[in-house]
Amino acid sequence: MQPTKVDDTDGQNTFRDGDDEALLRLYRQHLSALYNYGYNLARDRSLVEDAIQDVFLYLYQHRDGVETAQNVRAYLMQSLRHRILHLLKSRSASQELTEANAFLVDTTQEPAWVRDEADAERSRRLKHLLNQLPKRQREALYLIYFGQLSYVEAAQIMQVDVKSVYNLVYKALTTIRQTTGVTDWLLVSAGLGLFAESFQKNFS
Amino acid sequence: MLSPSTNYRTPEELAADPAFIRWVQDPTPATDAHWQRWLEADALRLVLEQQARQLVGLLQFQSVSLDLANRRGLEAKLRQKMVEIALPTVGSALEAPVLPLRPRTAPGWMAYIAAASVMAVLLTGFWFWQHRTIAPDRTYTTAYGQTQRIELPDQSIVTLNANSRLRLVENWTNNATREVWLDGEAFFDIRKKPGTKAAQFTVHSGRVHVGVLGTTFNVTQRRGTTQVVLSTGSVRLEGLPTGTQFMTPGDRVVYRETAGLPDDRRVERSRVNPANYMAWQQREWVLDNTSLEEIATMLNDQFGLMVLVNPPLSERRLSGRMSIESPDVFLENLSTILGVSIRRTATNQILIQPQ
Repeated sequence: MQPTKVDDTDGQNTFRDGDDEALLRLYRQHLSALYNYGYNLARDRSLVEDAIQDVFLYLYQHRDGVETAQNVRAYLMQSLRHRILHLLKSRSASQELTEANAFLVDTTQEPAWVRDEADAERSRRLKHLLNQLPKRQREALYLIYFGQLSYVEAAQIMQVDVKSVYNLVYKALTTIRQTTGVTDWLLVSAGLGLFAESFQKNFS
Repeated sequence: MLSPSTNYRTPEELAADPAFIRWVQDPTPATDAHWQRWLEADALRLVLEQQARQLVGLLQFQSVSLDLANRRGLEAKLRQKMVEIALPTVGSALEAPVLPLRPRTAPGWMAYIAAASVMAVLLTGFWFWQHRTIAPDRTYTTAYGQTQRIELPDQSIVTLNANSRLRLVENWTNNATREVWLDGEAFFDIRKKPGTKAAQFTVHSGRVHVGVLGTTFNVTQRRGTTQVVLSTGSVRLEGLPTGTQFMTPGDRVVYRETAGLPDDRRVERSRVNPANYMAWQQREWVLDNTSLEEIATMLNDQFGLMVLVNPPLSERRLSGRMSIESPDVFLENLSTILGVSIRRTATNQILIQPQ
């Protein structure tokens, strides 16, 4: 087994053997991101709480063997993901149900661009559609857009290569935009208007 | 950062660019300027930008928040387990991996991990069952108008002000770290623990964590606001949205948990005379241009008094040293100094009105 070292990116919270406080600082610093990610994955608070604790206890037990530096946040999320999937399996949770409920976009919030009832209706429709996308696409979207992680971090967490994460995101976005139909036309005509304007400016 | 000449062929390409995502989600003057330049380079980019912006806007996920009690509970649980693991009676550490430490897996490796994890869960459960040394929590509480001097297991002294609560997990002998949780107000005189690397003392107060080695300081945590005033030594504040801060004697840092306030405005830092903030230990308040409105709040925190100030008076201000030995005497003095009428209603509220 390859040893792993966890070293915080800001260099302040280096987790070394015996330094319990450093581990707890790491815990406090990442708890919120881990909790949100875990909850969005499993929709079960107590399971998530157990899994987070397991992750940190594992780190604590293996604090002497940890060596190779990595991105801490991604490492913790990757570990949590692994742990949660394992716990779900061992509790024989329904896989279909879990998959359907994981990483759902929040339909109660409205995007900033909603100006009227028609926009709101469109947003609801698109969000509903987003929630029908394959779970892996939704997870990639969650990590990039909500977690504000880089593609490299997301790839580490999902255990795929960077290109695959990008493709998952791109595919999801394409699906959504292809069903925007009407507004697409509006935007295209707006675009043509602008084009005409710039054409006139340049050539008349 | 991208150069302004970057060409995106589709709205998806733009919407998937982390730099664009950050700009839409959380614009700053610098990113505004950058993307403005990008937009101006070609009129058609506006269409691309609008479509991409719509896509990014849709991607809102449910965020769950942990309240303070939950956070503390979870951390205490983790700490407890860490202590149990660190106890010298532990045989060998659990060898079964719970986490993947290698990015790619050979066939069959997952099965090994899964089996090992199950073993780990079983072993852990059995081990914790065998080693149930649950350290009791110890909580000190003070009533209104009462203060209490507490000697901690390491001989540090805490003076707890009225209407306050201090909690600690009572197993400091096994644990190199010392920590307490505070609601209300207290003055800490922390003894430096000699020789130990991790001898940090931590006061958890709201979202703020005050880490110290050996020092004296005052912490107030009331109504979602945490105030730390340092008298001697140095402390480190963690949990602030503006990042970790170090304090030197005479520094005062206030953190407000008010929702809707931008992060940088929640944290306020100033230089003060620390003695003024610790005078309550001598049963005095040092007022410094303090408004009647603020005094009413302080009376409520200290004595549980419901004080209603007639609005025209709420901005009357007062400076000086006043005894808080008895709330009645305090109110009498207040009435004389400000020339206002103070009376107690039948429902035991204090009314402050013009004479």
